Amino acid sequence: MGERLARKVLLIGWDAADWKVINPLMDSGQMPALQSIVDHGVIGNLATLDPPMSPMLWTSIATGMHADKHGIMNFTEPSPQKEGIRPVMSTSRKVKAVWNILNQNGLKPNVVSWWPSHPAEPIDGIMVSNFYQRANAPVTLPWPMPPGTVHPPEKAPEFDRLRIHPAELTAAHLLPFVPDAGKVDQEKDQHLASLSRIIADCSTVHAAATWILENEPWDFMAVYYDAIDHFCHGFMNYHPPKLKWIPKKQYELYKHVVSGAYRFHDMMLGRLLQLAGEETTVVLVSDHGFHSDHLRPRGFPKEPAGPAWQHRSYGIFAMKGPHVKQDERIYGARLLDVTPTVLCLFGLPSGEDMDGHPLIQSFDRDIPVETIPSWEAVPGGSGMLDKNLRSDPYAEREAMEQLVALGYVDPPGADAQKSIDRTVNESSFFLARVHIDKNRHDLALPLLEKLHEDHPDQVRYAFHLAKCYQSLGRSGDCKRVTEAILVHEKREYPQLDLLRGTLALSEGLYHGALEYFAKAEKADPRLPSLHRQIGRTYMKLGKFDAAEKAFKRALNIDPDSAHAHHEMARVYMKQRKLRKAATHALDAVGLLYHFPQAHYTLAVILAKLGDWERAAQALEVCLTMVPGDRLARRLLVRLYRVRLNRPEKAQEQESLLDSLGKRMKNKN
Amino acid sequence: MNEPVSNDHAPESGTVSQEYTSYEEFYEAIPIDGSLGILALGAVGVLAWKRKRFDSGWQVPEPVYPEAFMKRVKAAAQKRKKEDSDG
Repeated sequence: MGERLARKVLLIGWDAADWKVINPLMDSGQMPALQSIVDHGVIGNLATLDPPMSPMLWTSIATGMHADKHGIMNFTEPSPQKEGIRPVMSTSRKVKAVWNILNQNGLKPNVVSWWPSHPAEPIDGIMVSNFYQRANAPVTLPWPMPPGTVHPPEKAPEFDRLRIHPAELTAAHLLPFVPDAGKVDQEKDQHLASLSRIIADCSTVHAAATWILENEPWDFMAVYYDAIDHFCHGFMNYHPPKLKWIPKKQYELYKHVVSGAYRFHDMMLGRLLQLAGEETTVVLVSDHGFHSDHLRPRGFPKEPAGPAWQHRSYGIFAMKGPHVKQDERIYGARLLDVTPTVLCLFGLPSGEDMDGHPLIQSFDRDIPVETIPSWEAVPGGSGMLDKNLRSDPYAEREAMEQLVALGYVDPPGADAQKSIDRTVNESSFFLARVHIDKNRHDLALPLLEKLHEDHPDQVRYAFHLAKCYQSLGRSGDCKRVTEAILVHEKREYPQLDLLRGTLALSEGLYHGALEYFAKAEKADPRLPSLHRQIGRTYMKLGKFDAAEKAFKRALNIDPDSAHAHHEMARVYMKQRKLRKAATHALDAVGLLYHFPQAHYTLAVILAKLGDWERAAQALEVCLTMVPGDRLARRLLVRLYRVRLNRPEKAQEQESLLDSLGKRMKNKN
Repeated sequence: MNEPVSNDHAPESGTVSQEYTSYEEFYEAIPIDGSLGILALGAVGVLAWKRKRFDSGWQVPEPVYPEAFMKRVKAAAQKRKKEDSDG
């Protein structure tokens, strides 16, 4: 066991919280509680995962693993009796969450409303499931908590009396968000009803969390608030600056809701900090961001999980407490790093089967990274549920209705089997995207091929299959599927032109690629990644000035695109503007740490600048991510031997290079 | 801000860390309609607010939801606006 840095850890989840909204509010003094974390701790972006589906992401946060390992794929899942579908349950998680690991190490964990956490797990502390806050009946009727909401069950009455029904709220609760609520035509506009439900839900979660903090012993506490995501899906289009397609009247009515939501969360955060005390290490995270500027999409595809198009790739990370650096920014944090970091705070090793790493750069001392092969194999009471447990389908229906209302899932069809099939297909599609996110296109391919074969009319399956073929170098198959999409799709489809252009680019047909890109640009000039592809094509043509302009357009559209910064670094390197190149390469790895190509590019630029030491460091980082990258390893050998005069390091790398070569030979 | 104070004799256990020196003082200060600040206090605020409402004879809203609730919100907002403009 390593050094224990934290006496207690409070992990707070704010779904969809985004620095882009927070920063101006903090700058104007409207989020003092979060400001206190920023001033006395570390902050950074938290890179999300694809697909950006909240139950999947929050489970990755709680396990340190990708969804192919933890098993939470979707908002819904088939119910065990096959009578239909149900909201995804805690019983579907295949691996231990951080609270289970802490539990089996004799620490007392409490968990409130994590998604998914119903039914509550029998941990040594208290668990209040994510079904707790739902008001599933009018206020005048009983609205009992579903069985399994609270562990231990004898504590249920204590939590029951803390619940707030939306109908209990008054104007005093709504007017801070909508000062002109009186002008809302309630017959036509249901925004206030939605607002009251969100406020009631998150206030209920907060009441439970504060009750535990005040009344129960604890070492670790995790509490998840989904309200910012709901506020944003409902009201972000009314957030300033005004979008041109939003009517002025609606804008004026609802323009304060999102900032009000953040301020309300800051008030709740202030209370949590007060109750947790100075000695507690506080970690605040979000699973993804939410577009709040010119990148807000006007609409999104009418497909399951379409609303996720509004999500941004970076959530927030903030941490303060004993042995945490003060007022510093950290780079390269990912959702997957949260659980290893919490374990590290308690002096516990990460599992080698976890996909994340502890954020040791956050600490004021050197902490050795300790690992064990897996926590799954470690015996002891972890407080996990029996997988065969079933929960109350009546209670689940209410949560399902909320997901339907939010547009995350289609209403279950009359034919239950159809609903089940739809859920199974979407989960398979999401799993394929998880594999693609992990750069395992080979694993994604069979899933996408099956989906495309069964549903040739579903363009998103075909589109991902075509991209998968392209990534695997199977241009012929990519073309075949692309042509099939064209047969089905009569409308203009700029994403398809982008794909065809990218295919032409990979085949060396640069002018043809530019024609496709021009067509896509005409239809949608702000199409994500379009300008990067245009820039890459100009790079191939040796037209670096044109490439630079294209990458600048890409960065104007999305200044936080790590890939656009990387391309910009490459074009500046070609133009021998090495300082500028280094800045963009650093921005790229700062935004997205797990980006080996960008570390390699950074290394080459630093080597050209004569900074051999840091170039070698960048290559070492690159090689931890892709140990088989022979080009990077050869450059590292050369740096150690020729520039840094470290023959032993060069020898070590050369041996690794040799063994790689032998392995490849044997494979062939 | 004062140190958190606890009041073992209060109807609900818990701490209140505001400018109040006793739970009674805090309870007296709670508006019957509640507020976001009370909700942000968490359990202590919610329980005290519910208690205050009960003590004041508050009745559960009419059974029609959400339309009736929305009408009340509208009326309260208009009333507040009128009070603001009058006063």
